[in-house]
Amino acid sequence: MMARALETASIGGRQRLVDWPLLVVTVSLCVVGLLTLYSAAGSPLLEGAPRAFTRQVVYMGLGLGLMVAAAAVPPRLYERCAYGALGVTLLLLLVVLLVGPVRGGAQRWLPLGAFSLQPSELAKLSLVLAAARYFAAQSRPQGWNLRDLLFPTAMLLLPTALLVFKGPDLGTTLFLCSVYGVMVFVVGLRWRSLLMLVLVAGLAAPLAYVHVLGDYQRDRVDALLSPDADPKGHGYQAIQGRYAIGSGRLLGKGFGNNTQGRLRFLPEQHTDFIFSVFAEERGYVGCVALLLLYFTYMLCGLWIAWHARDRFGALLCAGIVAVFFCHVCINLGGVLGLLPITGVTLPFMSYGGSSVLTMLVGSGMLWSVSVRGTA
Amino acid sequence: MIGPSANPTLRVAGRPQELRPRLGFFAVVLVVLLVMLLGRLWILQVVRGAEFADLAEKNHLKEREIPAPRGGIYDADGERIAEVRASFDVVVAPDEVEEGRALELGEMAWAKAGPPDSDAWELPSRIDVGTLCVRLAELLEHADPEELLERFEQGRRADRWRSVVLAADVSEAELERVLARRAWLPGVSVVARHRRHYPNGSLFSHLVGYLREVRADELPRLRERYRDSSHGPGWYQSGDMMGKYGLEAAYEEWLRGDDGSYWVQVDVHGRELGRSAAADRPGDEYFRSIDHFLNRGLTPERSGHDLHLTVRRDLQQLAVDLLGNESGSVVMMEVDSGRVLAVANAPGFDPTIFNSRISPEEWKRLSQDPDHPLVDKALQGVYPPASTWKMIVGAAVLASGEWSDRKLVNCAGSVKVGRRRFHCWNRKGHGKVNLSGALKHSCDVYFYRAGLHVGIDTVARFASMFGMGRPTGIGFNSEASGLNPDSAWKKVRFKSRPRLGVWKKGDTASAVIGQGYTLATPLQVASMTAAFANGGTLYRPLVVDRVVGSNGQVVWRQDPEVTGQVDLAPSHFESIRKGMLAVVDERGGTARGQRLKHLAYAGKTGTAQVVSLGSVRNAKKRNSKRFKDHAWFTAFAPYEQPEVVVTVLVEHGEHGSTAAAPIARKMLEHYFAEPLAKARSEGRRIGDSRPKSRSLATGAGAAVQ
Repeated sequence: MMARALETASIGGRQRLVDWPLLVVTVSLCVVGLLTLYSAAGSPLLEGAPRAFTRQVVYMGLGLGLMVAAAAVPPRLYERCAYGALGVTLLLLLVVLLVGPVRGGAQRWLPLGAFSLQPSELAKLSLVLAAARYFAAQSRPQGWNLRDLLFPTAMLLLPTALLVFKGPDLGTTLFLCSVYGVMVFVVGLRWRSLLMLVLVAGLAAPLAYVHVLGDYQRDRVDALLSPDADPKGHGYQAIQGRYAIGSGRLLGKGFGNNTQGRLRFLPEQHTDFIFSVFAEERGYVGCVALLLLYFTYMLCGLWIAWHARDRFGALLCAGIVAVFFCHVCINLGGVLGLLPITGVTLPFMSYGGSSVLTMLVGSGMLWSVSVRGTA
Repeated sequence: MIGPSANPTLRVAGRPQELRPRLGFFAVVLVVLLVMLLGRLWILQVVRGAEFADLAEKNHLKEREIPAPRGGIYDADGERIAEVRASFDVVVAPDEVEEGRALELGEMAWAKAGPPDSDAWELPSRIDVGTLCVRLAELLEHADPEELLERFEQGRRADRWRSVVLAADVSEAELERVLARRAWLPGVSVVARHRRHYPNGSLFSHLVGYLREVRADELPRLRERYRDSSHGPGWYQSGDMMGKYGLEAAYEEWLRGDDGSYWVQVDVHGRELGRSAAADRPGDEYFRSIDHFLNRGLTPERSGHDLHLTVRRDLQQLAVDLLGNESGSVVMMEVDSGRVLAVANAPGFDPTIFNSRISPEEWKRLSQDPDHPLVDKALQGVYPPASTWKMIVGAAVLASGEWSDRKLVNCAGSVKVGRRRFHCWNRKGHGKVNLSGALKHSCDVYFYRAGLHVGIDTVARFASMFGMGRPTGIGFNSEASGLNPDSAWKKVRFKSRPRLGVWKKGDTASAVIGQGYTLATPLQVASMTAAFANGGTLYRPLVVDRVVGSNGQVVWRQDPEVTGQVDLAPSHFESIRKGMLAVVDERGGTARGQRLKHLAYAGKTGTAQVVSLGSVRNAKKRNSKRFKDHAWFTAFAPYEQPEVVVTVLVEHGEHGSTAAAPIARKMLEHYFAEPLAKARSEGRRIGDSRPKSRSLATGAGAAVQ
């Protein structure tokens, strides 16, 4: 099937095989991510390459392969399989809840030999696919109001979010809601409805703070509001992260000199807080370059969506950009002290197989739409 | 089957272009967010970058002190009196541990079994202090977790920013165990310290003194004092030891060294990864590219200077042994230089106890002991000098030129002064005595007469020439002045009641026998005796001979210093000395019992009334030790070409001849042991060039009873 798809693409003559800007940006991000991880996961007490780095190389290799494969699949096939993918994801989420091992008080992983799969990561792409398919088929030229959204929300978002929430994984639940929200916005949610949603969310936030959030989540919100109240406890992560970023100054300390991370003053230095390590080593100049790379990637995605030949392609791209966007914004927001710290990874940088694979497969989908689904 | 053509199963509703406005809006949002994030980064990295760089640096670069050893103190023969030895304390920093007391059995087993199998560098960086105490108790000998925890709580309450010493001066085995498990003891560190050690225990207690931890309220003053010195304002830090008494205090600036420092790079567990080195040597920093670190370098420590004393340990030891259980003081010094050979007090104390916090019970025991072990009696103890004062009166009356040493005074046992009758200690009287006889018998009547003849102001003037009434200038332990009363003094003393301030003849009578208002320290009496022995030169008593740098170079030497000259004819000195010789050497002399066959020496006994016995009505009380007289004996030897003076005071020893003189005699026997042995074998007498028949025989008394 892949061979025929490639063949079809070449027959057109006008169509390209490779979306070079997207590929260059993606691979650049992967390389930067690997280099940063090598330095962040290392330690003066450690000989050779850190284990996290070698594993990440494997994940990235696998991910790049999957990206090419995903690029070879025509968008039409994604559209056909969208609901099926969501179904399988829901099933996996259920299986995790039933038989998944408990790690750190949460059931999020399905062990697969040496690796383990995190179905909630898959859920991000599946939800995007399913939502794209649904909204591609429904057009409301006057815009969507809340009542119109009731059905797709109940059918697509609600079951996914509920199963993930049961994890318990409030972070990913909110993440899924955000991605879904961005898609609904792109589809054409009326401004009035949007305003109402924002109002309801604004009113619900304090209630959620008191009733829904667990103690540790409340602590994180508190730590954001006043990190210096508990500098050795809940505020520690945020404060040390700030020291790391700030100490990079304009030009950075140079590769391998992230004292905050390598000497372990900054916890989570190679996962959620890897940006701090990058900022410490590369300084403001490096951060500007990295953020430009990230936003180039997202703008590439939106460019593909803009030129998509059909609604599904456009919505799929918008959805994937939304996933990427939420990752970047929530992670950097937390690291830079603008949002509470959540366990959201930074795409292509943070250590973690599921995240890398998800983002690279997503890139593959963008690529697919770019070479096959644009006019 | 799959291609750009429409798939009939999929409904297509609306055109994709419908989405473009919102996609465009999304792109605008992206750009706005990008700008926001870049703005935030600008604030963190550029605006506040320097601040955060400093804070991050403080995380991993720590200044470590190289404690400088305090200088040692050595006796005249180079024997160690005070030294430092390395000791290791296990300390925990209160702000690096969690509170709480998880003293659970599981933790106990954990601590015994050792660390769990994991990458060492992923261990938790903070644990609770309870767990820490359990782990430490396993590694230390005779340690109880509850006890350690209690110690920690106490220390933290006192100062929560300072490390608490959980185990001081740990053994080598303990040290090894703790260091091996350091990674599992976050917040715990081992501090090397120099601990002051006094190998002779209480032998030199008042002379050497002691160290105490510098008080928090002293620090600002010390900072101010050394601000512009080479030591810098940070010479003293909280927790440092400082000389507070004795030579440790007086020579503090010499003895104290300058701590050095270097920088280490540590990880979050406090493990050292590298350290800075002196400028001429490469360091082994881990992060070589961080230039701040490279430039910090190493400041080597400078050890304190050593003190070499004039005091001899053997003489000091003998003096303390001879005083035994008595309370008193022995001073021995060289006649022609003022170099002190022994300055011992009993009872003493072990200066080591002041190194650490002293317990209230211990403090109470020391401070409330009726024998005052904390008082340096030789320098600070003031006593009526009693009959030792008579030499001064003799000098005064000879100097007047109106009495010669041959002048006879009839002692009938008492003399009436004003309306009061003043008795001689021998109520039967001594009959006719000349100066020599009066000294030999310590006849009070002779000196009443002599004193009244020249008047108190003349006596006081001579006493002053002999150094009385002012500190000798030995230079430590806030030496007492004693009291050398005269008419002017009394006027000032009773300023508010002028009628009482008139000097009366009775006052003179009391003063000339060293009673009444008159007070002197043993050191003053020794100094005065030396002046009689050497012909009137008053030297500043010296205890420190030289200060030696750590390289062995003498940086300061104390030369004998003349502080006064007594204006008296040599023949008059000779007369007094002859009387003092008679005290020891002639039959009937008050210290005749302590005569040495092969060493001629001269001395004077004294018996100082503690209270006027008349005022103690209760006979039982009168017999109690607290009301017994103080015993004095001061002597110089040999009689001819004197070398040393020895002064002994025994509190409540009753009689100078029985309580004090034997101590002095034994001191002299020890000091002259070698010449004595030689003299004995040669049948010669040291310090006595008179014809043998006269000197070795019992001298004839000049006075007839």
